[in-house]
Amino acid sequence: MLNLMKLEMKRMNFLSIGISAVSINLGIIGILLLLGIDPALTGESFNDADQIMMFIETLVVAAFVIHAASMLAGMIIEEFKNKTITVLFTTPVSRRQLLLAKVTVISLVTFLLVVLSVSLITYVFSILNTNFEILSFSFPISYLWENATHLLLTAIAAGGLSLIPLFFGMMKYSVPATITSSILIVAILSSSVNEGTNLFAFTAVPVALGVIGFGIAYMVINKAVKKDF
Amino acid sequence: MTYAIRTHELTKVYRGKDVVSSVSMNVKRGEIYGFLGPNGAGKTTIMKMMTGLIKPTGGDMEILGTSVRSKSHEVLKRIGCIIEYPIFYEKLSARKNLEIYCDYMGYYNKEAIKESMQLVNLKNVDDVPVREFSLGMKQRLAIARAIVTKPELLILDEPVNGLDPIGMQELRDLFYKLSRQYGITLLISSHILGEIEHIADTIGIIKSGKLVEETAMADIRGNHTEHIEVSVSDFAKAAFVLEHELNTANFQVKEEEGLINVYDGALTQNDIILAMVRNGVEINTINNRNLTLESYFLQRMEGGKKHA
Repeated sequence: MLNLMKLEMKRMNFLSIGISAVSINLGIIGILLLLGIDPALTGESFNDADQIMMFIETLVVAAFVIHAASMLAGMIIEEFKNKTITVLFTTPVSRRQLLLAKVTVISLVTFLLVVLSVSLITYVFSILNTNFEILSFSFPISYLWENATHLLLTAIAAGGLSLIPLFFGMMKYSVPATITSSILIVAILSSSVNEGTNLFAFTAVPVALGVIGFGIAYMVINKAVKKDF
Repeated sequence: MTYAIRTHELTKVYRGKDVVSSVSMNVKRGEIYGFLGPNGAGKTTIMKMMTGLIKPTGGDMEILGTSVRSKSHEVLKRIGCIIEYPIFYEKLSARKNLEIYCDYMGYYNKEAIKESMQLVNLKNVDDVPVREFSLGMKQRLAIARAIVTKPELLILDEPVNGLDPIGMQELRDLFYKLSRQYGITLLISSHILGEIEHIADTIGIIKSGKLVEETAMADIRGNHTEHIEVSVSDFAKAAFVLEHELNTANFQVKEEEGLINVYDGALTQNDIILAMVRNGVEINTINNRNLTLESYFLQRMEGGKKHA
């Protein structure tokens, strides 16, 4: 299994993943900097560091769930669509382990990217805020440590959440369905339910969806293991 | 006698319809087994069952001494295959495609990739993306991939499809070499007989999911060699001459075609002409005929009976 995960990673283009991750991070920092343009307007939605932290997590999870969908499309959906998976199925590896390895790698990469990005963005933004007073209140780095548990939980949830598009994508082996469904999931989760809060804010929601994601991956793998190709 | 593949009553049912029905075939180690049948007869389904892509509905299968009912995938390490049409990661280079395959097969001799590409005569294309390949080149690359891990058994589903006649001949020679020099067992399917007629040791004929015949090529050649085809007007008299003058019963009268086929190898055209002329039987034409595997095959396909 570990071996299969290594093989998957060997085939992944880490340079392009790196470039995407850096661009996403820069983009989110850019969005955060916009908060400094009109402090009065910002103050209507954001009053304390907690809300900023939540905002960062929401943006990061949203971006990397969509990013994960593109990985799902490349590593799983397209393999089925182009039938290249059948070549791998004629090699002496178990179908279940092969697919599990793919899903695990994607989930793990998403988890790591979420943890790293939230940390990095928080770190950079808190330094910028200290030096340029972007926000009307302080946003200390220590906030990251105080929220570490929540961040880990969110990242694990994101790892599971990122697999939900598999359900839609595998129906007809469709790349657009995969990506679109990921965007829809993100849109529903991050839309405001009321003032300054969204579904992400209730930890139970992403965690539940994370569990559903892992469940979906299990179901999809089970189906593919039994299927005739 | 050891067998590379033995199936027993192998059956696959799709939506209540038997696609493969009670097929019991025996492929001996080291031989080239030609698997013949029209499109849709079930060749690919059987080959997919052998390579684990499809699960049989019923029956048993033993490949290289391993029962396929067991959950182990290890036997696939010793098999190379092409199923249906050549499938590759189109954006990746030929070499990269083979590398990935070797990785999953657990085969780490990087020199082998070069060797197998040379064997199928693919040169200077190592780094070219597969999407730029012609169908013929893909077919060759698929064969290179099938043999790169030096398997004991090759399962090739229509491997020379899409090749020009010279390419076909080249690959036929390669298959022969793989069998005779390296002792690899080959199961090659085809709907074009000429492709395997000359290299196969055994022929299995499949029709509508059923194996209708499994014969050694040597036997087919022995049983269905030459006959003399005589076109006459007076069948009764001609038959009488053959029976009483030439003392043979080994002939067949095909009145509707106006022909008598003489299978007695001891008789020559000359003997027949002389006897007929002596008895006043008029001969329109007389020819030596070879029953090729093709006509034999067609006969079996159409459900016709074998000659006497």
